Amino acid sequence: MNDKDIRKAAEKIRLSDEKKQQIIDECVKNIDNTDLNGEQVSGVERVKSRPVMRFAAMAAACAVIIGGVGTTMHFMSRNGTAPAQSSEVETHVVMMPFGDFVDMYYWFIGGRSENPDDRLVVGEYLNTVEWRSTELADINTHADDIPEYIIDINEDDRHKLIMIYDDGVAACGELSPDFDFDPEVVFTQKVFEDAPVTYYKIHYPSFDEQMLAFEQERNIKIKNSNGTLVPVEDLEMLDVTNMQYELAMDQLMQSGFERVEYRNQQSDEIPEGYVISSDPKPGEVVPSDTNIMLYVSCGATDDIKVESYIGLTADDASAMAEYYGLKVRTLDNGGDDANRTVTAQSIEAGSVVPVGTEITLTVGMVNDLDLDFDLPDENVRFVNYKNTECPFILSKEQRDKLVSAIELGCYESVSSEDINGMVNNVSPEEQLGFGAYCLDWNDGNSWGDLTVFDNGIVSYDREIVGGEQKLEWYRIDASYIDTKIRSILGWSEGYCPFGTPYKTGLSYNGEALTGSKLREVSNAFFGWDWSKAEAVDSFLGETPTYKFTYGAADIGDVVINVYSDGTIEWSIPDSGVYRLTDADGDASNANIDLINQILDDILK
Amino acid sequence: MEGVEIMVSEDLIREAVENYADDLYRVCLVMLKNTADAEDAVQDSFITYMQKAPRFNSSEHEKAWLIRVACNKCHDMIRYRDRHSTVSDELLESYFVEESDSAVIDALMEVPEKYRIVLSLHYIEGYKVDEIAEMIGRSPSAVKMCLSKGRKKLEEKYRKGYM
Repeated sequence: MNDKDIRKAAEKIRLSDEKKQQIIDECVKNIDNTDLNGEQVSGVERVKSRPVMRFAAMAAACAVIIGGVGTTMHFMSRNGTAPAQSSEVETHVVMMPFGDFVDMYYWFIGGRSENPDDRLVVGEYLNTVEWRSTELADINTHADDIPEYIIDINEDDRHKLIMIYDDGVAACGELSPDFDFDPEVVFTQKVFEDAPVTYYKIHYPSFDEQMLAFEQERNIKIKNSNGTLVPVEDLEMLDVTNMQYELAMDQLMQSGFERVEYRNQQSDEIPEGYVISSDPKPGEVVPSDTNIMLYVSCGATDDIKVESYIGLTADDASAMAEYYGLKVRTLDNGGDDANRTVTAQSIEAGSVVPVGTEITLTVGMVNDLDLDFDLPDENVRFVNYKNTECPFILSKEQRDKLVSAIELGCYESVSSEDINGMVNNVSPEEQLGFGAYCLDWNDGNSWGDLTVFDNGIVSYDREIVGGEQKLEWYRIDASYIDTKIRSILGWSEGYCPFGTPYKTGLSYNGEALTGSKLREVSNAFFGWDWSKAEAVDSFLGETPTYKFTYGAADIGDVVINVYSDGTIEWSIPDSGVYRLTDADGDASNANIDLINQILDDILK
Repeated sequence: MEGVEIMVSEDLIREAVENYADDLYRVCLVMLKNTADAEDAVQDSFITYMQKAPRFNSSEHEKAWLIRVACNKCHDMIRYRDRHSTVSDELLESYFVEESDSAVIDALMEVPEKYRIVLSLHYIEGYKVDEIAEMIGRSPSAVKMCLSKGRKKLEEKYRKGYM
């Protein structure tokens, strides 16, 4: 299947002539018979007013306004050709007095938008609005009223405001150059002071309807709620628990909360710098000027959370327990000196105890399985962590430790019949969705993978080239192996799929980062949500905002590109290119915040 | 104040329908997966054209504007369908999957919605990445991502179902 196949197939899809005629008939029937102000006009065969003609030059537009109401122009067909004699009539056309909204910098006072596309989309609509010059005697000028909408056009730091009221009157004036944009100012026409004000009229019902549609569809704020720069609105408190605190504060400010503070608290569970809880709680609806308090972890107390040491060798278990401050006593339960593992511990994993507490580790026989997974010594890849593809070649030491941990951790084998009920013969790609960790290899003599699933099932699938395939299933303690994997790979402080930059070193634009800058950039990487990263065919081919590289001896140079829209892509030699955007394909706003605020602060 | 007195010509509507209806219909059919809804979406798009279209710089500009309107109509219909569906999935499936003469178009209709519009604008209508980005209000990098992932999904569907 190639591109031409798609095009050729699509060309066969056509509307019938009969259907086209139905559409034409329906269009003619459906054209509106009302004038701009919604009044029925009798005695005249009328249809909807002409669409507005757009002019790039303000001068041309002003010239038409000077011509005043009732200016007559010949109707041109949509593509600028002269009208056919038989079917066109002369018409009044309302000229666009402000210029091309698509080309100018404007937004709405009291509005909110995070996407530059919003300005373009709304601007294209504003260009179609008919602004009709009007005599003051005919209208209520609303001199003291708060408008429904306030468009602020910013040209060379001069602000022209268009205040739109609910009867369609629009008042346009310019602010003085030293106008103070104080959040307390209420925007009535008083802000124009002595500057001249020009009045227009628009069809307010359709304008209001379209603006509200934009608000809903694009999740933005346009309509003015109380005439001030930053209106108070009710907002739902975000769930920022377990989020890096600076990112949490940025997200809350971006969503409209004005006052966000934090306080440090000790926590054994939440890493330092991450949010433990918030006041108000997630989901609570509060005014946007509420004081938001975040409780941020400043690290562990002097108490220790006991890990699981089951399945570890006596030496490993003792070293780990002592490292965390426990006093270790071992109880010998028989067996050879070599390959003895911990089979029981006197304090249950997960318990919190003071530093210096004694723990007794019972050391006994290895499990009866006596597994020996036959993986090559070199070029074994770690393919994915949970839902993130992050293939990189394991060092010899990492390979040995991981394989040993899995071998020792498996405590029973499982039959294929039992597995079918649990894993349902899903494809490898779907298996990744189960939150697996996967090691794979292909060294020309054999290929295979050793996969650990979230539910504690292990699959060992191997084929010798020219020989038979071996597929075996085992059970393992899922939380034990998760702890082991993260510990062996050095991911205890956080996770990013291309390793631990602050340990391996990181260069920015070719120069090595050091000290706090290196640490802070690494921490920024740990803050992204890597679970949504996916493999792609190639880099975007555009110039990134930030370019990092680092070299891990066993895998070569890793390149990391970070773009201004929040897209992050990286390549791992012999493994491929990966890209992080959110589930919809747009770079997540969280990434943009990190780039714009954190990386900017760190690196520039 | 004088009102506006115009007669919009039937010729103008006819010209627009003749020029663009097939393109709109292709996009709507791929998005909505059934002829009835696609025809409705095309008709609504032309009604919007008559009511709200600006002056266009060129026929390409006019076509792009219409396609954008059609995409929005399709999104609205899909959302309405999702929120108001009271029939079983099986019945929906049998009603909504429109068999075409072409296996590749059938495969395209099975691709997830978020990729379908980008794939059809690129491969059927021939728009470039930046043009598509502007039409659907997304960033160019998002469009490239959708094209890349959508293309893979399309090939998978085509191979699984039709080869």
